Amino acid sequence: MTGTRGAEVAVDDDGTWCAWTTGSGQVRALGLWGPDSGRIIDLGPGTAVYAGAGTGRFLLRDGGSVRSWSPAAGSRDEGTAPAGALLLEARVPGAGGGRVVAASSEELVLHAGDGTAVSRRLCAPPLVLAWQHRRRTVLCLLSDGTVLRADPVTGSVETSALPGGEDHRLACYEEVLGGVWVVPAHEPGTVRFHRTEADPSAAVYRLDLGAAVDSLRASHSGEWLIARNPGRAPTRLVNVNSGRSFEVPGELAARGAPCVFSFDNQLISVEGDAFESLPVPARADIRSRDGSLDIDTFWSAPPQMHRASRPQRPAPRNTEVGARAGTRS
Amino acid sequence: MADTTVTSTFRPSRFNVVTRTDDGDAVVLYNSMRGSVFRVQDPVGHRVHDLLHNRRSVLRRPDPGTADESRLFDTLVTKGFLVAEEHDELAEADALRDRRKNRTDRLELIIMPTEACNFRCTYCYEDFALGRMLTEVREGIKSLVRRHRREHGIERLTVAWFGGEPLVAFDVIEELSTFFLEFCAEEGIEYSAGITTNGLLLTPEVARRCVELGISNYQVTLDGPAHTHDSSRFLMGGGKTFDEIIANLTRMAETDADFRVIVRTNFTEANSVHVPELIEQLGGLYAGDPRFGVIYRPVGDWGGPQGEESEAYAGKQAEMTKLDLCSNAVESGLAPADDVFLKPNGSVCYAASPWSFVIRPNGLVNKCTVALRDPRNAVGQLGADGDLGLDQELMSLWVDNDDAKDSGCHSCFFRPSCQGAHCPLVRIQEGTRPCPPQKVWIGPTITTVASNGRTR
Repeated sequence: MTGTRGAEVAVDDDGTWCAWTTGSGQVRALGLWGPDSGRIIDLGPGTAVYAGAGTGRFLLRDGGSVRSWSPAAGSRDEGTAPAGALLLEARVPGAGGGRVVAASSEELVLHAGDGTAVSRRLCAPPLVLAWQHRRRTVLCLLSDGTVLRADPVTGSVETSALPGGEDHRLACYEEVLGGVWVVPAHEPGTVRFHRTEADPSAAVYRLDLGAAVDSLRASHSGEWLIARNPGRAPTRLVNVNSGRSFEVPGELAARGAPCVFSFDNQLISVEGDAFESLPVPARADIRSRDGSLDIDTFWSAPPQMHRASRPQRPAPRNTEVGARAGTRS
Repeated sequence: MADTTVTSTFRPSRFNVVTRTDDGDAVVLYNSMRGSVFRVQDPVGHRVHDLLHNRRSVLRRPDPGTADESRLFDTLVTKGFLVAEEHDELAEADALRDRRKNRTDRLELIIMPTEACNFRCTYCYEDFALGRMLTEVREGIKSLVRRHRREHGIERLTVAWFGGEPLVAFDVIEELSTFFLEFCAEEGIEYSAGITTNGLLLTPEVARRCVELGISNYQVTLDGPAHTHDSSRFLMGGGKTFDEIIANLTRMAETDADFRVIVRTNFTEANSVHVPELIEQLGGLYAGDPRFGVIYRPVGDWGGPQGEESEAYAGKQAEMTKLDLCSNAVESGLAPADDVFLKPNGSVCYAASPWSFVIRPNGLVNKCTVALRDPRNAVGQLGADGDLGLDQELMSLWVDNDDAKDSGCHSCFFRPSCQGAHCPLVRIQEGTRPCPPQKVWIGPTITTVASNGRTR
């Protein structure tokens, strides 16, 4: 899963931590797994947060300065990046974690294995900066449909383009299907999937979102998209396999709070110092394609497939039916 | 091994099967302790049948003066169809089972680098609940291998990559395979690996890298020609997959790399009529390439979210269809890869062996890759130090639930092959004896194997 332009919430490499920015310019991290589950940590000031290369590791931007943070290593200065740039940390063997990659509206900059910076001028603003785990490359999608793939070891950059030559408003990377979901500029209420791992890139799906969105994310399983437009339309969960969408469950998420998916397909909503966690089937298999399956039945219907695949967790706080929520203590 | 006991009286092995061919001009012999199948043409076939058909008969070696009779008799002794009267075959079967169960020189890991999958097959039982294998679990697996070498002196490590779709998390496969190769080379451990993949991501670049990483066995599923495959094995969201998979396999075939691909076809009553179309297509592409084999499986009731909508196909008709498809494949120049099921230990499920473990992306240790939601399958939790955290009572459900406790299995002709452990899950969930279909339909099975052997 990757961040969008908002960079207001990020999930780590393992999907076991998330971090977000609060309205007061602070960054919080939340453990989603194991003994840290439910633990909220104050990471200090920051205006944006991005995934790092490692368990619980994040990049935090505060103005022009960049810091990394992880539960194991704490905070560390990582230099500077242009204001508004998208950031990620690329995994490089032997680099002791990763190398910071930045994509601003002018250029893509990455630091190669020998420490030298490689930059590539960009002809359009970046929409997505993602780490392709199974390719070990950085994928950068620009609003004009240009796709750059950068090898952090050699510093080489390959360029291709999505078919159609359209401009896009939003996008997110989805690793399971191996491509990008994009919202075309001229069709803000639809989303299309382009399989960028195919050669050449191929448009595979087109889904109707019902309304324009300003934030788009994919779940780790690829089964779900989170489509948000706070204040103007309810957040929707779009089921990729069935092509259907649902109003998001949960109090925080329903009122437009940013959401991410965890490693075990919990939908995590965050706002200020509060969070909410809801189990979502990683595989919905919604067979009622005519829309006759109501949302309550969908969330509660057996089988509860996720149950046996989860180890024992600490007892959740403020438990509702299948949900949990918490605040910073 | 031949029965070399100095003896003058013999009897037919209790593990024999003798059946006549459909055309009635030959007999087919099978012995489950040897795993061998022979077709013997009449009139010798008649004589063999006379010698073997009564398991209680006591036979003496013919007079050396009758050369043909003596040669036939000695051959049957050498091949294990006749055994010395005093030979304890049940003890031999006990020993075979105990050797398998008690070996400590081997570790078999079925690793799920992710439970996510890019396909949504109509009959799939998995819930895809967990994402990429956690960093701490990957480290735990490395510790597990080091620990087993240190504490048990393992000499052989076998890894099977499974999912979800394992190639979705290829980085996990690369990381762990690199460790396995280096560690096994340093320690002199024999290492082998295979992968069960849907084949979509097995591009030439990935395939080449897989071979470099020591992955030599591939199981890829094609459910018939494009029009049937794409309706049961589609991309998440419904996209077609057949053409890309075929393209990937064909690019592999064009290399001189050393690998073995088994193309599996899951058939239902409805789609089985289309499978010969696939066989013809595969025959045109891979006939004569010894690196490619085929297997056919009726879609089973594997549980999972499909529930009553599953297209499970079972019983005699399903097995006969399977055998017909094998014969069809042989006629098209393809090699069936099913022979192992007739060998000693060949029908024993991996879950029944104490040295075989499934490692889930969250470190959960299972025995079975099917019953992922059954709490009795959660036998342990892998720790960072490589400790499997096994619950011995749960382990015993899987590894001690065999012919030692089942009098029916104890006396069965197929015992050396399956040891009552063809499917521990069936015993656990249903409390019934899990006879494998190749045993239930042994006559048609061995007749088909013998016939296919002749064709090839």
